[in-house]
Amino acid sequence: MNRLRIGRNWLYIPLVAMAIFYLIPMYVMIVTGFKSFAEVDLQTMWNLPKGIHFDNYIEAFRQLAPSLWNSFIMVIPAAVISSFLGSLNGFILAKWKFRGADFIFPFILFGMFIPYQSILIPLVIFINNTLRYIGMTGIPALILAHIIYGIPITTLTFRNYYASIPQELLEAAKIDGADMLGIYRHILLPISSPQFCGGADLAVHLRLERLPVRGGANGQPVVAHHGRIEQHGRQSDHFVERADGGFAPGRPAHPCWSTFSSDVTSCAVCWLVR
Amino acid sequence: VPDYTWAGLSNYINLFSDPRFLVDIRNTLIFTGVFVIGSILLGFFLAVMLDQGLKGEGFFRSLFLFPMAISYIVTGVVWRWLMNPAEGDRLSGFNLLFSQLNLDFLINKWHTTETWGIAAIALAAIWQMSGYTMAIYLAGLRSIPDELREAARIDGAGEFQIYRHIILPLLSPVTLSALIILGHMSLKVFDLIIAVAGKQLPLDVPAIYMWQTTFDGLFYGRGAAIGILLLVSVAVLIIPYIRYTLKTETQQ
Repeated sequence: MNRLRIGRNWLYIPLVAMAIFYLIPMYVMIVTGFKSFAEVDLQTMWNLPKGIHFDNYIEAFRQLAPSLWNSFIMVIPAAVISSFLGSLNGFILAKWKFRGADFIFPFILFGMFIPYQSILIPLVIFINNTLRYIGMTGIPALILAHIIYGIPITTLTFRNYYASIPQELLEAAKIDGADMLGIYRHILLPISSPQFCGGADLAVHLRLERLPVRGGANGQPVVAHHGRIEQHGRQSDHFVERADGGFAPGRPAHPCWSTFSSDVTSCAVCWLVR
Repeated sequence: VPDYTWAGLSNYINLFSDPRFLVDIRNTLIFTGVFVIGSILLGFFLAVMLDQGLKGEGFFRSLFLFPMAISYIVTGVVWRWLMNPAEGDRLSGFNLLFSQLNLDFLINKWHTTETWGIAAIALAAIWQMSGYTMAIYLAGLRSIPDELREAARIDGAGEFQIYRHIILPLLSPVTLSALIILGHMSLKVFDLIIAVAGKQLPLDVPAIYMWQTTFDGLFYGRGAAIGILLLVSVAVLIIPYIRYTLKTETQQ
């Protein structure tokens, strides 16, 4: 397998160097997360903490708990419903090709790449006028938006997965008298669980990471790019201000928490899929 | 009272004579160039290294891949600390590390550099996305049968020639998808820049301009024009790619 035919151990030098490059930001974040408030300072950012302090995590959790809770009640239904619709789409597109399927699929694919900026204005107007008119405001409206924008990616993953399932399996089911929905319900759905985990993970991930729309105060959907941009931006500003100028406008909370939470979801899902 | 008169193409024409939008275009081009080329070179290099069947490959693979699991906001906040441009005895981040390692010539102003500051932000983006290019290149390398390498070796090709004449051409579909996926991401970049530098004019990109002019300035017409231009630029990249992918798929 040694394809470059140079001393194998030499290959570890670039690998370890790159590993250090990838680890540096993580090191800074973990080390800073465990420092006590007084210890956090840009001049000593490379030093190890003088002891393990969980203050920052506790504080971050206290401040972020409402946002996190909002994320969860928004993300979980959005991911589940989006994955389910995606699996239905994928099933039809992979196994029950209808006339025009080859025409529609590229459009669904393109949906994956649409910049949020170009749909933001109509989306805001739709949420603020149409959806409010029918009484759908706040988080349900956002869930709807996330379901719709999650459909392309889930459709693609499910379509590719179902395309790899042998046609004979479906034929056999058909001979045994299953109709289209029966095949989906009894054959494809039961073997889709890894795909559901993957799809849900992806969806959760995308939702947690970039929420282009967020519910504002008193349940009125306003658009602000990122609930967490504001949170983190502000908190990191505290951090920087304190560290630079030595004054403390507020307690620094730490973005570690959200890395941590999204990593925990990924790890949990990866483990489930394994 | 909203003005509903038909504006024709004036929103678009005004944009192209708007100095801020011209800066946005320049920044997007620099960012895209540095980010896409950097991620592809680094990803390919790492994939070749990991393809040598070394011990601990799994460890390195997950390590290189993990930044992808982090959101741009978190990446941005950490890199904001790392790329702190403060000078003198307030040195910090990478600059502090460089001075402690006696590498003072490396100390620089990062994203506050004139014109090229946006390239520093592309560095953070490379950190985040090069693992992804590594993963798709590695999958591509693994799908190349060993017989092809053997045959080239028998014909007297050196290892470098094998990579140059056999492996790279076979990997061109992978390079294409990496180009497209990274390219369309860099056209849309927003959160990373906001997290590293906030809304600063020298680091402005179309997505930030669109945000500010629409929701802070309430110039919906100009905002919509930027949004559509973004959509068109992404579509120019993506539509041929989708057509190509679907065509090769049906051929198989």
